[in-house]
Amino acid sequence: MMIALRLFLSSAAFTAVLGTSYWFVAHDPAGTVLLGFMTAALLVIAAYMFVAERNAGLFADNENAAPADAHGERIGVFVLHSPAPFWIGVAVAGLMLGLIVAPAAAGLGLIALCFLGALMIVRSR
Amino acid sequence: MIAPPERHDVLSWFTSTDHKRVGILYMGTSLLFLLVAGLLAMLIRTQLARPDATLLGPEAYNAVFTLHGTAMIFLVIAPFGFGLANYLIPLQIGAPDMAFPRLNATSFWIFLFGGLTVFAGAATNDGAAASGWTAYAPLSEITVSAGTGQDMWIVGVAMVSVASIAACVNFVTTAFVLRAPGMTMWRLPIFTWEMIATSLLVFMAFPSLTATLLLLFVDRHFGGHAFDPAYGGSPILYQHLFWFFGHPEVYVMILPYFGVISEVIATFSGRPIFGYTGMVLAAFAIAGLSMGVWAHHMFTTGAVNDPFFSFVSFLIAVPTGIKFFNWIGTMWGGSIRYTTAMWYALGFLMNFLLGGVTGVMVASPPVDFQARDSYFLVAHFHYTLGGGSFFALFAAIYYWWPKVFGWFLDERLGKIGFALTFLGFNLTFMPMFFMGLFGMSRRVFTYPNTGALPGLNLVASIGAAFMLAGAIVFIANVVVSARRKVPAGDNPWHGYTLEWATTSPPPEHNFDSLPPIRSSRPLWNVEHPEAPQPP
Repeated sequence: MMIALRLFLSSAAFTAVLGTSYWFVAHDPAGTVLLGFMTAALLVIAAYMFVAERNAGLFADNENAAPADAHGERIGVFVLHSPAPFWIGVAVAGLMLGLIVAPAAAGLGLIALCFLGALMIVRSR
Repeated sequence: MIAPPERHDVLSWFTSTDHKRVGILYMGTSLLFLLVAGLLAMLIRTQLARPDATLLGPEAYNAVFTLHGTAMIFLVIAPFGFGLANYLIPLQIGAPDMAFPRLNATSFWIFLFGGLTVFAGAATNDGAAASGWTAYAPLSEITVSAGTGQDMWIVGVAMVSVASIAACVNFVTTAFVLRAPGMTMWRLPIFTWEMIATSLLVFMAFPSLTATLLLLFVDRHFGGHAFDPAYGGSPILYQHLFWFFGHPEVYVMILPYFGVISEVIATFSGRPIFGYTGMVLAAFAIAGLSMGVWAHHMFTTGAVNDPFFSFVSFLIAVPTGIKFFNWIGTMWGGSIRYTTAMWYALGFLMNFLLGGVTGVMVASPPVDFQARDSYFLVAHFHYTLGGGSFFALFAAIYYWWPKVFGWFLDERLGKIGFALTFLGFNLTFMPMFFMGLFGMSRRVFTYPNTGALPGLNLVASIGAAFMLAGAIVFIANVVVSARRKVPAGDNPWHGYTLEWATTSPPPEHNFDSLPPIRSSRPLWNVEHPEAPQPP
């Protein structure tokens, strides 16, 4: 995970340098703000990885690990079927199209989306 | 994990969260959109085959090229790469599935409904959106494009944007945390690395697109004036926000295919990829630099710092050149097998080189001022994304088809299809460089019957017919091969990455057993246990 963390940190450093030099060269607030947001977003991800994942101790990061070493490791439940994704797609389409043609449909889409999203999160746990 | 019995009924495709099925759905949907976008391109070329043609009026022509561009960029090239990533990343890293299977399937369905929403705009009273795939303000504002079709374009593309972000969250998380024991980051296959770089780009660029579309929608329906200069808004701001997404999007459309080409060339040259570390670093250099070049699309506005963007744009040629040299280095001295996939990879190299070199040309502001909004640019970006990504897309189809379905596509028909497509592509787009130099503007539905333009346009349209013939041969190939179903076996091409270690097609849980992973080519280590272990 350290490589992943370094990846985000170095990307953030690069965009910070890019944004700073852009400001001094171009004095353009729009582009500088965009690059600044980008740096901030990369730093947020890097900070999360530093706090939550730095001690993940993945077997994958041990170059001498064998597949058998991970036997019994709990890596989660991989659900193979769920109706929720399809209906979330329908709800999002209803919400977005409703914004154009019928606000009521947008409301229904929003309610359905909240319900399905909550259901999916609960059932993912 | 205890796997329930595998389901094969039609309904199961609507509820499946298996990454392989989601990948197939992504790729299949992209190919259907490609078919529609290709037919729209044929309409364009038929209209332009001769001067003063009347097949399409100006309004219809605008709508057709808008839908063609939108489909190719948002619904075909990038999503096909996402489909490939869906299918391949867990297999290449030895994982049982994506990190978030439900989110993965959700991203596909939102993408599908988004794409259908864009096309459904054509059925509205005022017709489809007609402001181009860039939907520049004020052209896309309600004062100019009042129709519902433009609204449906905005919300449809916004849905695709959100779906892309969700898909890429999955790719990155999966590649970081679900690698098999021993699959260190520096042993990841190049395709997986390229998808990590692509995903980073999506995280950085696509929120800008979503925000831009939201602002545009607010302008149109809720009294906003973000892009209206009369109220302090700025159309230039639209261009900044749009191209902050738009140029990285070019690399979102090409980096996955760099990965495809790396895998195909390595396998069919019988050699490991030359300069593995350089390839990975070049991908991230391209991704990083591409975030700093957005305004080279705005040189002629006079509102941006041309030297800055020109310099950074030139820099991108360096890591791209590294990739080119490494691909050539991989083939150099190898035992090259000229399969259909390899032919498409070679076609990619030749076409993309032209697209890249002309890209360096238009990164120079004096050249760009001359070429802006001319057919020279149309030729340039088609050589990059059509001759590049499109050819790599077909290389991927021919390379991984046996793994996905367990049987081969016909190689003879494949090579005929390649020849027609390659010939047709170059006949279509090479003349466009000259049309541009002779002053033909892009996005015009007709042109004067003078000089070289009628002849060049006719050649381009004949080339398009060859490409159509290539597409028909591909469809025929699928039909014929599906009837024959020549079994492929688990590792028909003698590939060395992990996806070739499982059955064709793989089971729902992907692997019955994994080989030890000691390099980026684990199957080579299994075949050569006596050889010194690579780093």
